[in-house]
Amino acid sequence: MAQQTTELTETVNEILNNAVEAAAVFSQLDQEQTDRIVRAVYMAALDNRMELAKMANKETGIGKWEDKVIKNVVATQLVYEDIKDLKTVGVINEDKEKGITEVAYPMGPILGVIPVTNPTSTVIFKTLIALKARNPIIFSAHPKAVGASNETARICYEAALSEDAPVNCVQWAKEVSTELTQALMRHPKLSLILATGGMGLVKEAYSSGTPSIGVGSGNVPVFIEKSADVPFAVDQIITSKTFDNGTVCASEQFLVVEKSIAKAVTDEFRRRKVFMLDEEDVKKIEKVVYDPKRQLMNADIVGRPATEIASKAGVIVPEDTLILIAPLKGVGPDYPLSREILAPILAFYIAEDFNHAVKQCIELSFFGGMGHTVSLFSNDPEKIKTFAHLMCAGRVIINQPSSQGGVGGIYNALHPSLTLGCGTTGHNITTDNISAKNLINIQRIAHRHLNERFMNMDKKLYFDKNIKTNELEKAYNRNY
Amino acid sequence: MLEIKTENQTLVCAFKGRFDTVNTAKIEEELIAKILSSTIPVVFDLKDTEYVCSSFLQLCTKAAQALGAEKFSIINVSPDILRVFKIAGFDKIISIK
Repeated sequence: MAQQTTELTETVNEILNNAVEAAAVFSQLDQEQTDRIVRAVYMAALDNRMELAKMANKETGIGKWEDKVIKNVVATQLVYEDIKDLKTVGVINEDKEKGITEVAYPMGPILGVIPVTNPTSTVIFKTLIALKARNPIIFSAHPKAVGASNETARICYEAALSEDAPVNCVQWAKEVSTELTQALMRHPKLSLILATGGMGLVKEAYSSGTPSIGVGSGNVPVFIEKSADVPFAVDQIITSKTFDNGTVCASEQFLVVEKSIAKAVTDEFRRRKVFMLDEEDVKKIEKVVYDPKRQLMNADIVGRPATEIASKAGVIVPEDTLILIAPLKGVGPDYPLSREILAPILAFYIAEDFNHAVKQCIELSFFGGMGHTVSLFSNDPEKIKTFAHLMCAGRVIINQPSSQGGVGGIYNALHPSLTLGCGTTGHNITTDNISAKNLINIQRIAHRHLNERFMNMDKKLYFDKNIKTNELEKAYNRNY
Repeated sequence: MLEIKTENQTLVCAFKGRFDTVNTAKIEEELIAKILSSTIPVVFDLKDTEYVCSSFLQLCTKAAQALGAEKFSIINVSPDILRVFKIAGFDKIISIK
């Protein structure tokens, strides 16, 4: 055990020493040099999008390779187009009027933890945004996707080197383990952790002492409000929920519809190869998808087709079934399918009216998924506004598929990202769709620029205990 | 590019210009040979050095390991290059002025 610990320490020290050296060299590069490196990585990763997608699908057995190709396209083309013109080196903003100049400088070595659901696209995405901000990156793959993730990292690295990027600007753990990841997280030379994964991992990152950007669980409610175009809404939800077999964290989990349109909605789903479970079926499915010991979804069903899950549970469904819909009467521990389940299973709730529906969405968010994403189909601008203001979510996705919508860049103008912050209600530091702009330190040069009101203020007034506060305010704002 | 001369019982290696991967590779073999065979202290003079790449940093590490801390130092670094060495943590193992 002592020898293993020494070996581990040596491995981690080597990785981080390599990384700080790379950071040192990187700090010298200008915007043009940096952007050439980023472009080379983008082109190489885009070129390998299909092979990497197939590799990921084969190694993990999760999702669909065709949808993983699209994830790789998002991670390459859409992310690149979003960040390519971003200023990340030197002066990035100058306010001559206020005398403040903003200068970007790198953060330093970043540890990118990679989820099993997106083992290649997340590597590409994190490489692009890290290198764009001149930060070396180290990858710790998920144990079930080491091959795909590390091959992706290798392709990105070689492309970066072709444009004279610093040696070791991209590194990856050849053999992954919890101990190695923890040791990397806690290393004093590490600057930042990008923790994309489950709550255990994110908590580990926060506890490490290294600044961390984490994510939260999705558990997304989708509400079809009565003014919505029902066939359109159903079509979009199916597009979203079947994408990579429901593995995107922003994927809909819990469908809420108003009573007045409930039949129209269920009829529309039935027409489109979606299977409505009965009460008995729901119990069978619960046993298969929910792990009561860990109080989480069963990892074995993540990203599996609806038909496979049904078969495991002993529920007979047509062989072309796309999604299983589970009618529930509530949200909470008594309803396991109201938890986040990254698979083509949608819980379903009929609400009396708008207010009732909104309350159910709030209940779901508070049960698990705070700060992540909520989805709404509506053509009533006032209801959209009301709904959004009542939700505690970083992303409110309107009239579009939530998986692709939350990720951004396809159905809306959100920054395309594979790391979605949930803000403090989700125990994260930001609600941003994480991008290169989150990976730079900003230095502010503050030129002399007097606060005239303060300078002209009679300071003696501040020591007058008899002066009223509104008189102080008046004096401060006096226009000479 | 690289000028090597002996001054005051010290082997002074003056690096001029950009030391990217290609340029560093050009001088590496000759320089390592000279360092390994040196019986006198070695100094890297970076007065006119504009940029250093990873392999240049590795060169510095090799020199420090071969000669030992007392017989190797780096001098005349510009603020930019000093910052590079500080980020890399080299100032803890090599005398840099």
